[in-house]
Amino acid sequence: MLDKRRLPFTSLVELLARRAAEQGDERTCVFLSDKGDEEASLTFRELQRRAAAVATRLRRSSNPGDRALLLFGPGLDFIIGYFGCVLAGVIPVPMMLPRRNSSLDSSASIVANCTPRFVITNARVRTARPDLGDRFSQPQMQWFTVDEAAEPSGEAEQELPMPRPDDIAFLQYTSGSTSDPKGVMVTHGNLIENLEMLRLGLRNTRQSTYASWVPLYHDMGLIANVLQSMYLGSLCVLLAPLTFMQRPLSWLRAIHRYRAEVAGAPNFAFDLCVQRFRADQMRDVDLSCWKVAFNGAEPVRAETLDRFTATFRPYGFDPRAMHPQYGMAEATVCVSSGHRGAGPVIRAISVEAFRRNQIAAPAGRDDTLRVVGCGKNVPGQRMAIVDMQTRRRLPADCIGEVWLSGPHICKGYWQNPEATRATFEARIEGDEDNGPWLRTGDLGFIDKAGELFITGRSKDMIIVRGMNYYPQDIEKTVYDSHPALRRHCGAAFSVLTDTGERVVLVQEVERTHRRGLDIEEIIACIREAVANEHEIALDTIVLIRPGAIPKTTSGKIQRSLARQMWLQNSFEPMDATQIQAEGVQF
Amino acid sequence: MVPAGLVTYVARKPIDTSPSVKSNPSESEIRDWCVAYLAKSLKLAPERIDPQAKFARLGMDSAASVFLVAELEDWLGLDLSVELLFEHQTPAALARYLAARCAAQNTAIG
Repeated sequence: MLDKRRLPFTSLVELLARRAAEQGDERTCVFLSDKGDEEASLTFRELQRRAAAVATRLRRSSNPGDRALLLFGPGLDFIIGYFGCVLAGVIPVPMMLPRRNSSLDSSASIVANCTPRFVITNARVRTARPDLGDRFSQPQMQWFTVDEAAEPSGEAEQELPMPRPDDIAFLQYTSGSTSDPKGVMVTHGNLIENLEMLRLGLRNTRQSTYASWVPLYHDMGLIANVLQSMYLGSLCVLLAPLTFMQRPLSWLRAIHRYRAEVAGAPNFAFDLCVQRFRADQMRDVDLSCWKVAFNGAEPVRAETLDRFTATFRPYGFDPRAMHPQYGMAEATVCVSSGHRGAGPVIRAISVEAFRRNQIAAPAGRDDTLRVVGCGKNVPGQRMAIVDMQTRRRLPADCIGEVWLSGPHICKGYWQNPEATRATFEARIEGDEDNGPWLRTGDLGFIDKAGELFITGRSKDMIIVRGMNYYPQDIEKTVYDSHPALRRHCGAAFSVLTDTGERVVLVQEVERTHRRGLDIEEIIACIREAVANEHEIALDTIVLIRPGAIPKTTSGKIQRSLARQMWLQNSFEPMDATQIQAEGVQF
Repeated sequence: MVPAGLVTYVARKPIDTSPSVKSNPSESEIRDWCVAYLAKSLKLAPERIDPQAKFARLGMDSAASVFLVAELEDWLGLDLSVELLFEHQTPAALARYLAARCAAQNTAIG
């Protein structure tokens, strides 16, 4: 599968070894404090040495292929832990730190699915979060802090194994689905292939410095930033996600200060920079070094690109640096990308035709919808738009499901053969190319020039700030939060607003509880539980009478219908003060 | 089938934020400001926000908490911790702490 003539490495192990040997004294990563000072940094050699120390210790008590949860706050220790596992032949499983008040559900389902032998963290997390010790206390689990392995142990260094391209490098859990956890098995071959595709698409070089605040447990943070810069041998400057959320312009100042060429994030980040723009914080900032501002992991909006460019062009930002992308963990990370310097492709299409699932030129100003292209097929990948009913390939400018095939498409989901078959092993009807094809669950079209446009989702997935959520998980948290709420009788769905994708919840109340309801109390319980379990602030909650949620004859919640009904204000809230949809445009 | 969701925009007015720095606000001014901000961002009537109730009850995620801290930084001209709402868990407690910080700052300057 892996073409060795074309690719410089066969695995992450070889990549790190070569970087340490050839440019060991150069820095691979710098981590900035919330004030913008350099808090930590690692050269390629230091990373190699510290990761090897972790690996040597892990090897004493592990078998190849054992799993290790990575539980880290922001900083460079995550990278040491990650490479420590990879060098030891242990499979790292990056995980978001659970909130202090959350129940065990989402982390427990990942633990149950991947049965980790190790929990790897650092001294800081162990001290600040004693609650984690109780959460991950299964007898077979061994805790391990990377700081303890900082110094070489004095023993002779063990010979570390060299992985094959087909070996699993790590598991990327796509969301915390409680009922059906999906840990994507990303192989070394998948990673090297996709890192090469990214390099070609962005025309990156060793001079392509990166600046990122995207969390490292997210595929965009880890692969599209840290691993890509290591692949190139360039520097990656990192900020904590909350530093960015609190002071978004600190990201732009880091780009300026390190003359970063590539810096990207989900769409909301570009909006946040504009919302919190302050001229006094941008004094002397020059963004002319920024060649690729990639934008992915959530829908890209034309208005966002317009506003960002208008705001930051006076600071040297080049409008052609705007670089929408599309990708997913099942395809390692990147699926489509523009070419450096080409600028975004924005098309005006007819709203009326679009409602009928067709693409046509707008009939007039009122009939215009601007859609943003997500770039072209990355080299080495096959992409098809497929009719979901007939499973046949569709021609250009027709909307269907996006299907993918290529050497970066992952092996499947860990210990989940059913979901693996349904998602990774599709065949196109009447097609010579037997794939196997990955069904993305995303809807879109490819225009005659080969540009991909994502227009919707066939699955009920909710994406908030680049993180994916399954509605059934949110719905379960909701009905567990208060006894007056009917089980399996709520719908969570998202709507796109000026401030990004927001989550709406419509939930039935038990018949026996309808009198003397304390609506405010119920709503507070729902809001608190959902924020604690999922890190989502619900936008709107509508409590309704029993039987009002639309269901199929077999009793399944019809979320897209519920969504449509909510947009048309056709639910009758039990409390007149509850706010419904306002100012719907389409 | 209807494509799920991506091109249905629900118009929202941005929350009004004033970049001008407020000097020496009283505890009750800060509390009222917090309540007004929360009411706007959560789309609730201000009288439905109890200053003695924990922020957690309002269903704020980390991002929403950090946005409030950022707005307060701008309004009061102070450097604040992202953990602020974890340390002071109700609008009333937060206002008490911030009023003391502002007073200390003014004494230091004066």
